Amino acid sequence: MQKLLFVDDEPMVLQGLRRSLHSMSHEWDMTFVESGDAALQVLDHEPFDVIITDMRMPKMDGAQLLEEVKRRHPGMVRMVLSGQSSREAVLRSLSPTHQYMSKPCDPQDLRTKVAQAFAMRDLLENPRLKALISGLKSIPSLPAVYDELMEELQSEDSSTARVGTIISKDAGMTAKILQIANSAFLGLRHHISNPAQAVCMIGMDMVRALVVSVNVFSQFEGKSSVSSRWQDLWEHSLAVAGLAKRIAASQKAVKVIVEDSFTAGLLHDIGKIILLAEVADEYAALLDSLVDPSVSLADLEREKFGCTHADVGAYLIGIWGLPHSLTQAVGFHDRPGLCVENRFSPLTATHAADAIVSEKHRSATTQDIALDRAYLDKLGVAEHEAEWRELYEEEIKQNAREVGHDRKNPVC
Amino acid sequence: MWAGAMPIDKLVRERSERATDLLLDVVPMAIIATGCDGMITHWNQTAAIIFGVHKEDAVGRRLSDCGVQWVDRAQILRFEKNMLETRHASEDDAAFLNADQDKRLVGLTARFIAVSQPQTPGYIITGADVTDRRAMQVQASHTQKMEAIGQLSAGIAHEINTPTQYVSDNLSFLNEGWSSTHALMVLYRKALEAASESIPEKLRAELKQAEEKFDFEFISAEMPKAIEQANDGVRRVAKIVRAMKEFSHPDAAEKSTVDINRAIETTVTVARNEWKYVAEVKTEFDEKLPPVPCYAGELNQVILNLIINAAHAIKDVVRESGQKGLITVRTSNNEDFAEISISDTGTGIPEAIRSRVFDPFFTTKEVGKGTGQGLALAHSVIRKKHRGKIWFESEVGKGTTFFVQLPMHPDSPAEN
Repeated sequence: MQKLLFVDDEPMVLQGLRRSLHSMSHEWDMTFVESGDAALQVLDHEPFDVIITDMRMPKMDGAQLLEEVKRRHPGMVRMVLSGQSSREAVLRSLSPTHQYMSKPCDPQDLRTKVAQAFAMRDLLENPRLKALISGLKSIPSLPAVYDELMEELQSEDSSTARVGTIISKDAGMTAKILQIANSAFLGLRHHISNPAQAVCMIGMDMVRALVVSVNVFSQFEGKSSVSSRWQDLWEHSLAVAGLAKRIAASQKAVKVIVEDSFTAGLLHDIGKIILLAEVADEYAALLDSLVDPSVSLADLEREKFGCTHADVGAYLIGIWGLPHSLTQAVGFHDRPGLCVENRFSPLTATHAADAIVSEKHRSATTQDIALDRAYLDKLGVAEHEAEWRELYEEEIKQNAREVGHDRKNPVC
Repeated sequence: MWAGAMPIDKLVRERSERATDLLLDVVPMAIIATGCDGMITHWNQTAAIIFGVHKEDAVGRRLSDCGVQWVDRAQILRFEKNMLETRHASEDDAAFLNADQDKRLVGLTARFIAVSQPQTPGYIITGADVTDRRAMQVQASHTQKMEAIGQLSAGIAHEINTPTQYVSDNLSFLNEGWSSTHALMVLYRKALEAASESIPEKLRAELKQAEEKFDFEFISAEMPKAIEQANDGVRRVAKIVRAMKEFSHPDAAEKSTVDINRAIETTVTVARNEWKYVAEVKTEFDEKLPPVPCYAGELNQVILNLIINAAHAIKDVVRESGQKGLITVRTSNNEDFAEISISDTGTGIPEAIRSRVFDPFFTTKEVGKGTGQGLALAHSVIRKKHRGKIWFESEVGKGTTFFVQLPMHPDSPAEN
């Protein structure tokens, strides 16, 4: 049973929610309170999984309440349901909020959003990691990319397209920009999973304000021993993203799936990025012990943390409200057979790309992942394996040409 | 002395008169002198330029009757009367048509000059062309108005969104509640039928009566529809509130990248009341149109003005034919420009006034129906603020299409 706490100073809203969500009462245990103070009191007495609060309330408003909840009960998922959607209000609530929904919110949408945030929650039983991920405001970026973005944003002729390109090279920035773009304050009807499009929709002024004043992005500041792994991981993610996109395109998938495949590839190892940033020594030690090929990384992770990096990544993507196809791809990228969906999806592209890339380029942060041929067979795409491997050769060749031309590319 | 033919004092006087005339001619203001009777004695060069009337034609006549095409002659007669009776008069916005038949505004002030040697006493009337200043003031107050509306609508949106939330939640509950109640009722009826023999006669009669009285069949048929229609209403309210808030765009002061298709949809929703009785609106959007850098609030205003104009043009046709017209809004783009076109099946713009439709204060609408600012505003927003283009094609009796082009890269040096 999941426990949800609703906060709104308008009792009619609470009663309406109680009625419209009644059909969920066999899965959700819901409590309704009329003020921030009352919410904090309830939380002091019993643990909850999710809090959904109004923004504009007398005395303590939604942003203040969530800041306090974040401090006192860091493992909770924090959502806003507000009738106010001015940019100022959104900016203020950005740091403590995982997802922003706006009134009027269709009861069905609300159910889906909460359910998706929960989808990966059961995977993560380690309360320390749960608290750690719920508390994350940003995911550190590769310093070179971060600097490049700052420079672009501060230059006089900064362009939306270039900012989009820079962000789509980095998993941390991409995840964050998609979280913001998918928040309801933009009022978009469709999910956004393309970082460049996200920049366009948010608008340059807002992006600048977010990055420069609100610091929604951050850069990796760790020991040099970790920093080389960081660079490895960054290169690996970008290679998988590029190949996943090619694979999806070669399957004649619709445009959305092709674009989602790139993003999914970029984000697939975001769990590793989080672990390397937040529990650096432990995770680095774990990666060092990865010498015996008969022991899988996932097993080691499970032994140490009770979950895998894929679980960590998927959990974050889920509570940040990114499109469900991305949560799926990140959560199942190393064991796609567990996913119930039987169609070619960003997960398929990401899994295949990850396997092909890590087989070719062994690095200190990746382990050979066997291509799950049973899964590919089930989807009826197993015969394309050789073709996909060729796509990777093409990708390498093209990148080599581009690196030669583009001096700004942070790889060099 | 070579000037001996003329008395020295007269010469000095004439020279100084010529100097004064010269001075008066270069002052960028109409300066008109009249005698005590209001008859014009002096008419400077600027007056001739502003009003498009030569000095020779004006001198010896009254201001109200000197060849200037006053829009409201009564206003000028009143001004003259005041001048002659109280010795001073002023009129802030006297409208007239200049030589090009453009409507301009002049601010007039008259003063009595008691001793004005060498002439007899009389009046000096000064006139300044205030057309451009007025146009700017109207635009500035328009901008302020839009800002106020933006703030207000954000607040109103919040006030409306809260009840909308619980109305829609309650409707969703009613919907679920009704379908389960209905399913239960059907079961009960089945059970009743099966057990009908064992039900006491009196109770059976009561049941029959109640079913007829409450018309259970009607309720069953209408309840889901009632809820669905109420839901539809709530969705429409939500849509309008969202459109209103987006339209007024409180952060319009800065340029941002705008999804033009969506901006048009929003504006069409906001303007619905203007067109729904006279026309259908059809949109043909270029779905691949990338976001365009522009001032969102002002662009919305331009689109709104063009849609309202289209609706008005159609209204004049509809009044005669009784058939609804059509407004078609299209978008398209190439690498350099995004283009919006708004076509109507209205009256068309007569050849004679085509050159003036973008002039400030130019209007063909009845007094009180239009300020004549809409297209002038559109022109200045598109040309000056966005470095874009705006033009139209029109055929009398067929309709008019307005085109707006916005540069995709307004800051690139190529278009400077």
